[in-house]
Amino acid sequence: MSSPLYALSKLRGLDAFVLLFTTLLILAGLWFLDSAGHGSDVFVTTQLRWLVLSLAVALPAMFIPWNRLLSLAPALYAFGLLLLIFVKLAGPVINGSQRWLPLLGRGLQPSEFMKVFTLLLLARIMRPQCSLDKYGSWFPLIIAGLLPTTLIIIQPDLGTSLLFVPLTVAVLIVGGAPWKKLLLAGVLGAAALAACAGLLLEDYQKERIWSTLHIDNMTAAQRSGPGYQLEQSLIAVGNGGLGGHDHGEGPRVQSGRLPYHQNDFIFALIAEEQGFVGTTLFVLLEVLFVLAIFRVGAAQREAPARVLCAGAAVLLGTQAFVHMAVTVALAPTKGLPLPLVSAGGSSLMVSILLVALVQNVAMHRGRWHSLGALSSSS
Amino acid sequence: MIAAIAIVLRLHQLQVTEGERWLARAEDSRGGVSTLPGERGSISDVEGVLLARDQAAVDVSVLPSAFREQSLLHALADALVLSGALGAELSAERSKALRWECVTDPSGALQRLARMPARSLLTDDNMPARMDTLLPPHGVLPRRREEGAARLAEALRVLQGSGLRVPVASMAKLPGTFGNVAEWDVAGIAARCLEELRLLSALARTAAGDLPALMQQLDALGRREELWKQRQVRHELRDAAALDHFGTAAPALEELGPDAWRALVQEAAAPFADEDQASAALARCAAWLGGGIPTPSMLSAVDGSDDAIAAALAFGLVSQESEGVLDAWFAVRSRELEATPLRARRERELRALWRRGRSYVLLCAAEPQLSALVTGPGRLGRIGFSVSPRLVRQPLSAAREFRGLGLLLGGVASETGEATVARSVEAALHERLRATDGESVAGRAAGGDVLLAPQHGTPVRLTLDWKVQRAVEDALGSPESSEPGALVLLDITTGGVIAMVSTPLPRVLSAALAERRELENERTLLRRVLGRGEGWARQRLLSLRGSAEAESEASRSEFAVLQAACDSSGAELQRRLDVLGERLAISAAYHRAVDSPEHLPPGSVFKAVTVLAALQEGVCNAATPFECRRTEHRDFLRCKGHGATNAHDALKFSCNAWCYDAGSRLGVPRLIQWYRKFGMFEPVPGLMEADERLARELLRDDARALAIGGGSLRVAPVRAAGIAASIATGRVVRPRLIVDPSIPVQGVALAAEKHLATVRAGMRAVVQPGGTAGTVPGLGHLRIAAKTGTADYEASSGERLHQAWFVGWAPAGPGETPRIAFAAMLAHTHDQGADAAPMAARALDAYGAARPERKWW
Repeated sequence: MSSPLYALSKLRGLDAFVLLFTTLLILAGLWFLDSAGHGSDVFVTTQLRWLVLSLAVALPAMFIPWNRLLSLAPALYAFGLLLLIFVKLAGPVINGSQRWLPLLGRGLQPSEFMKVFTLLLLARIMRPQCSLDKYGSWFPLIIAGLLPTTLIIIQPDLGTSLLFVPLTVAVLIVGGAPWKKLLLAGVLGAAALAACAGLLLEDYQKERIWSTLHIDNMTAAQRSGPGYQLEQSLIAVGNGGLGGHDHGEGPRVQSGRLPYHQNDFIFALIAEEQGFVGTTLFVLLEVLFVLAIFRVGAAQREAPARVLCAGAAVLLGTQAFVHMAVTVALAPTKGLPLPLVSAGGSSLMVSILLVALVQNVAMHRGRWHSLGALSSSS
Repeated sequence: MIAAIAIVLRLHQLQVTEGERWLARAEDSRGGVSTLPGERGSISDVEGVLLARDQAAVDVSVLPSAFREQSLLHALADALVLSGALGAELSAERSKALRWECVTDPSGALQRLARMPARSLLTDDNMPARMDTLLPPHGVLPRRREEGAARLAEALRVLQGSGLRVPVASMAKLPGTFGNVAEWDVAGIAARCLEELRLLSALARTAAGDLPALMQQLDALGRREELWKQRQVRHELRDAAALDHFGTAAPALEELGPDAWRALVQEAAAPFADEDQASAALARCAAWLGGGIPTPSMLSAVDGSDDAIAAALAFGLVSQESEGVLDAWFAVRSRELEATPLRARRERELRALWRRGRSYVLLCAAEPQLSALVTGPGRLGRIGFSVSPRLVRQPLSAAREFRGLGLLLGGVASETGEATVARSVEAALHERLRATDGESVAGRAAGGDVLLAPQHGTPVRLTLDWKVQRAVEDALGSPESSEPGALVLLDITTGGVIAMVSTPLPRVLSAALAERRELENERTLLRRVLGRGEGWARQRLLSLRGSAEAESEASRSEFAVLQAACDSSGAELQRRLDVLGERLAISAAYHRAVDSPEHLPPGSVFKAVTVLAALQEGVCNAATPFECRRTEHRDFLRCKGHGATNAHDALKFSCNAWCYDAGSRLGVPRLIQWYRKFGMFEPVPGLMEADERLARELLRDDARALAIGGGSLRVAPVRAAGIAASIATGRVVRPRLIVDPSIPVQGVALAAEKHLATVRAGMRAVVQPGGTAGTVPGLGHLRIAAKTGTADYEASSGERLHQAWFVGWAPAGPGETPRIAFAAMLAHTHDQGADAAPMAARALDAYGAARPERKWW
């Protein structure tokens, strides 16, 4: 059943829209990375290398039926937690945080992979018979989301850790949790988060939030310190104007004044080169991409399949829109790569894995009932 | 979906509604964080005359990623080569000398300037205005045909008509110090005119000599710049701005031949009556010549204008004759050809930086006028060039009278800010003089908002007297005739060094220092080869061959030395080492008053210390005679046989035997104790550090050798002068070069007055008939007390040479208060210690002439 011939026959089930938008985003990413390299092809070649590796990793994730993957979820989740603990204990300190494992060049970021593992576990928990009517039934989901969040916060990597919150909420929504209870829990959760914000946030994070809110009133020290990237990003975006600049001609980014323009601020490069018109089209592409994933989920009858698609859409969409919001100062400065576009091996691989899971769901429609693998294995 | 809509709305606000505002902000914050240079402390002489100070300069950097096209990268590499010639022109020796003179001797400089024929087109009233119209503040491109031609003609007229002849009255009226005024007038005018010519000739080359067409292009550019503000024609303007600086290749002059060239010059100069035509013709000539700034020379060659010739000569534009101009042009071309490897290397560096997106320092510590080429609307700043201000140490090597002082003061590397000469004032006082740069960030305030204020270095005042120093340097003869030696004059009451000269004076200080470095490096390498064997040399050769470091100049010379060493036998290497030693021994790059390539035993000069120690310690009696017999064949234990000798005579005749006896009675520890009492191991503030290692080395010596100033004993002339001052005053006098009230002037009493009197009388007798310096001519008119000293050594040639010393004080007449101590040393002489006496006499005479009010002897 899992022969190559069978696998090829399953390709017919691929969702064409997801495939199309994914391909467009990857190609756009390579195009912008060529520009980010200031004439050098280092970003493009590295990204292509990671793309090949990611596709190799994504193939099994796409062809092994998702219900079988879900049976591996607890083990993968535990493995991910161990990696996070290991990184905290023995990982190298880079830019003040311990996020990377020194593998494959600069390193792998276990927190990125933890997003996939958590999504798989949440889908695994959401069995068809699972009911979320009572608060007590939410408990396993919240614990599954909270554990990696806590471990990633202490790395510290606030941006990535906060992605687990919308993921868990999305799973609750898709799982059919009552709206009233969700609303009440949301208000209480937001209040608790606001109360803890003072404790959770480091000084530099508070300064970044202040800079975002007072971009025009920054002092010289703030302009060259916590507010530097944001100001340069806004200047780059503003420089784009209506029509933008030619490929590789954005003066602010090309002059090298915007750090991390190849990953955490690649949207600024896009905005400067493409101008308002081109950037709006790009935002539209991102929206269509996320909607296409939701569409695949909506077509599924099984809760785990819907959770997988909704989770992937929320993870990719939240990350993309937070990235864009940071670049245009709608959110405090936070280093999040733009999925499928930014340079960065772990991010690319995880984004492709998430898309592969979505395609897996599309290809193996109705696997839960036809195979009953999970119920027999559980 | 909501997030997407919010982002699109925000994009609209930033890019459409507030687009202009962010564009303006981009201009405002272009510089990012910039450096605020800290000023290194100035150095002045005892009367406040500035000897060294920081001078404004700029670093021009470029971000290679701004140049995406290959052609521009090549052009940039060309610009790098060109920049070398540019720097050399701007630092013309003459303007430097004049500037320096204005600092050190303002009244003299004014008088000299006043004597110059000042037929100038510039008057007191119109000079600033003319300068401003000649070159607008930011050096913008000429926009219209008339403007370009007028500016070219004006630049030529200023160069021809005034040159360096600056009206004295205008100098006096302008604000600032004389130094600043001179800088503005001489270097400022010259540099701005040259820059203007350079800019316009580069533009002319771009248009292949067709000035009207060029001006039309510029008109178009002007219009396009307006469009640029609307972000529509960035390509064109960027290309034009690059061409503005780089130009294009021109036909080779060699292909034209002298006749064709002369015809071109004639054509260029013939219609000079009409400014527009002349400008066009000149620009065409410049285009054919393809580089440099030959215009004034060309004109001078054709019409023989004295003013043009003077201007051309002043700026190193060589000859009055057309043939000479042609020769010079060929010389320039051949230099450019030599620079080809340089260009290739720099291009490689650029490519590497380009890949990494790093900024490249194009010109380090360049003249500040160059910033006009980079900054300003439509200039190179648009395409990745930037200028950052900095301060560099004013070089002191230009004029003859600075060479000795230049060596003493040392230099500061413009790149690192570290001292370049090890034993020098800049090195010894580095911590005090050093400045720390601050930082500012571009902002609304002029010059930006200060993030970190720069820390300026502390100014230092030396005890040195500039006038005396110069007089003594002059008195000690020409560099050609001077033997290696040193002379120190010390103020007895303060211990301050008044003048300190080392001979021979270097002809060109930088060249002498470079040669010294080269010789020392070779010597070190050869010693290593001899010590570690040929295998080590071959291994090092292999590692050099395979590494990128082999690209550097130092590695190339190391490579050559090692290769030669591998092909030579041990005996040949030893011979080469001897030759190196000999060359270093006569090198002019050591200030022998504090630093020497050789061991400097003081010889009999230290007998004064031995006698005083022996009398004070009670091991000898001043009156008791000691029988000195002639001894010749016992190593250093030799004497002439002075017969019955007492302490006074021991000094007068420089009796070794008396001192052997006293030394063996005193023993090494007590002698070292006395050396310590004289401050021999202590630092000389502003010059030398403590030397405790010497004290430890002396412990292993024979007391009899130390008693006559031999053995491992070595002393710098400045310390020897301190010893003489101590004996003269009876209190320990510590030499110093800086005025620092926190350092106590005089130390503890040395010895009982009666013993001191004996020693002083003995030293007075040295210069009397019968004394060791009694027959030296030229001492008769001086009332001095001194001690001669001779230290024998065998030169590498096998020749027996002496180091001659003459150390003492003046005046030394009965009842006179000693005022000045001196130490003269000649490193290589064939005779006795008295050889150094005339040197001291000449220095004292020069001092008397420079400061007649202080001539006490």
